[in-house]
Amino acid sequence: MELYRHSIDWFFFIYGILLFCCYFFFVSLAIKAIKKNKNNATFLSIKQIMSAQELPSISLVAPAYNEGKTIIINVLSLLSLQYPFYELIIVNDGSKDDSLEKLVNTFNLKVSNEPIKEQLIKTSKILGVYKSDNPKFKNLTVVNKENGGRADALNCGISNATTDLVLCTDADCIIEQDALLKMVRPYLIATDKEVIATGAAIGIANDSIIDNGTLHTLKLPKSLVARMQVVEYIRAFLLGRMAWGHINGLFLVSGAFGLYPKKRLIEVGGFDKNTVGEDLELCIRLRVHMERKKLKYDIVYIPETLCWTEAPSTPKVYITQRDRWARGLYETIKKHRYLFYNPKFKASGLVFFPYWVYFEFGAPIVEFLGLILIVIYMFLGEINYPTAVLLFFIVYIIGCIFSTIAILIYTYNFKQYATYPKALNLIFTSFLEPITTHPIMLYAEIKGYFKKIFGIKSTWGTMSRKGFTTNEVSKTDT
Amino acid sequence: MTIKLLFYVIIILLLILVLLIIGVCFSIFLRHIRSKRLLKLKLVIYTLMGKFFKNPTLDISYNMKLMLEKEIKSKLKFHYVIKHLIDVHSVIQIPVQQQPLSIIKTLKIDKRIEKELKSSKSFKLAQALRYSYKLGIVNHINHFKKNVDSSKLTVRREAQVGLVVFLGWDSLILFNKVTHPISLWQIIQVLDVLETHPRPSSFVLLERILESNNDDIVCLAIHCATRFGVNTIQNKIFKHEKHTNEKVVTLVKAYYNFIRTHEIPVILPLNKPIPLTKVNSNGTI
Repeated sequence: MELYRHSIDWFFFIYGILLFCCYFFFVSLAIKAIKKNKNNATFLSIKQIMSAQELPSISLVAPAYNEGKTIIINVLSLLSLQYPFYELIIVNDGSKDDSLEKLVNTFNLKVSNEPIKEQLIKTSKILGVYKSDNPKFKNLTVVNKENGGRADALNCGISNATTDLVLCTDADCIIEQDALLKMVRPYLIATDKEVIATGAAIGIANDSIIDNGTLHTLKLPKSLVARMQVVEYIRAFLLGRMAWGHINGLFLVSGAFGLYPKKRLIEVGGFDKNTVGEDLELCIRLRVHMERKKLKYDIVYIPETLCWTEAPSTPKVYITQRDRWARGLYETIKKHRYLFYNPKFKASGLVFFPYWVYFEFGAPIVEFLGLILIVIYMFLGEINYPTAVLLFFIVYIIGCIFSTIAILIYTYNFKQYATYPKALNLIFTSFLEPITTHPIMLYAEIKGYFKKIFGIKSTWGTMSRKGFTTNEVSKTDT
Repeated sequence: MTIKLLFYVIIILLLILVLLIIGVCFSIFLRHIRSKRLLKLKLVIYTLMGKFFKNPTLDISYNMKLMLEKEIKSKLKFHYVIKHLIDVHSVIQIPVQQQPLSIIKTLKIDKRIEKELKSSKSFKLAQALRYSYKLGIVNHINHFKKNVDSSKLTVRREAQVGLVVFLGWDSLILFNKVTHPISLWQIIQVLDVLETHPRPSSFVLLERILESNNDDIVCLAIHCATRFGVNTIQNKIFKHEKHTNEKVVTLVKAYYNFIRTHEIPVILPLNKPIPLTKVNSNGTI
């Protein structure tokens, strides 16, 4: 019995140490990756890209479902991007609100006379394709279709794209003006490896001021839940994704902002409609596809924040989102379980996928079991309280250290949060995270896994949004 | 004992945390100071360039020379000054003797770039190559020839583009030496630079690189033929239509479509843009 208990204790201890080791490893890799990205930018500035004559063309595909509140501001933002050759495809995924009417009225849209193209990826029925008769909006196409979910809408946009590259985003995202010029860079400089996906850091713009569809003034969210996510995103994108990208181990390019070659998307059949974690699933499927074709490939991440989105600002919506993410992860891990220690897929099967199983999928389970164990030990009176409290404190400080490192890397390299009030606020927020949103997130993740294990039917979940603050609103407020 | 050890660990971790917070504050302070200083320097450079533009024979005043010399001792400011000189150089098209070259020589920037051209670090070397061709320092051409097929991606990229900048169409022959892959960006840059050079009377060099063993160089040649409407070597290009590399085949098809839909005079006039006539699918012009 004693041996059994010690084994359990050691398991948790070793798991924790391994996790922290991985994080420290990520920090060193992320620093290298950010430096590499900076060096690339030295030799290939966005000014040069902008003036080049033969760039790959890009389609921006943005599905919209009941986005009436923000659709116009977001479409204006997406139409004002700096890139010589791009088109914008808004896919109205059977919205029940006035999204389509607003689009038709604002952009003078008319139903296109051209016959509807044969869909390269099967999707729900297309009801109409709209084009603007105003030359100012000639790059805009709106596809109105029956509701089929986000993945289905993205697939519809991909099928209608006429370009080399497809950028999948959301209609509620505010994209930086030079984002496409930066996103295309990895495709331009690739030599022996084909770039199959590019992602960039995503920022949180709750309570920030949006003017003419662009981010005018970046503010920290007033809501604590949203502010916590600012730190969480910085940590995840700057440390995690950059590190994985540096060793070509990226398994996830965020659904909110990912650039893919159209050819590869068509080959793999686009996004999977049967999972709520379609971005993660697509990325893995693209990797598997390239491995099977024995082609060299790369997935690249850009550390700069190129896309801004509205994060859940209440615990309820936050739980809905994290529950969905957990279900998506569960479904994807289950679907691609053949990768687990499969030497056919080289590092993807032997290192990266097992990491995802142990530390991305497994971490909430281990943490939850650890909490149960503590409660049991408490009842059995087998806890040495002074030691336990100190150990908790150590884990807490290490968590704070990681967040502060991420904030330091961010303020050193990027200007967005490089002011004393913002940076200190973020540091303070990060200190609160382990005792506020982290337990909520753990609850949401366990809830998501629980639903999958016991076959409880769940949908995408409603993400209620406040909408961005526009300059006019802000002026009225003041 | 365990408690004591844990206390020490906590103290060390707290110290690290405090240092990191100080680091965040310091990085913001540094960014603020740096941007102020660089802005001041930018003003000096642009004032100087403005004066040069008005009076090309002007000598930098002794005080200004001293100030700039002192400023560019810092690595960051050295690169910053060059960046702005390049910007001016690319925007203002004035005769060589009036270009920033004179400033570069006065401030001995060219010597410093030459020193970096001998660097073993690929980033430094590539940057020095870039500065050389962007600022038109032709004396450094041997470094470009030496690095045209360097194993370091950034180095060979800058060397290849630099050669095209300096030698124009004649540089194409050097691409036969290239064994390493080249990126789409290199192709774009080479084509954009070639466009600024006078068109050659014959495209023999383009024909030669079409026979390269390096598929990427073949791609470059086909891209080039398409962009400049070269129809005198079409037979050689069509020989590649069953190439094993998918990329080459796609480009041959694009070239074929281009030739089919555009009427190009067989003998092209020198130094003049190609008079292309778009032919519609029904055969009308």
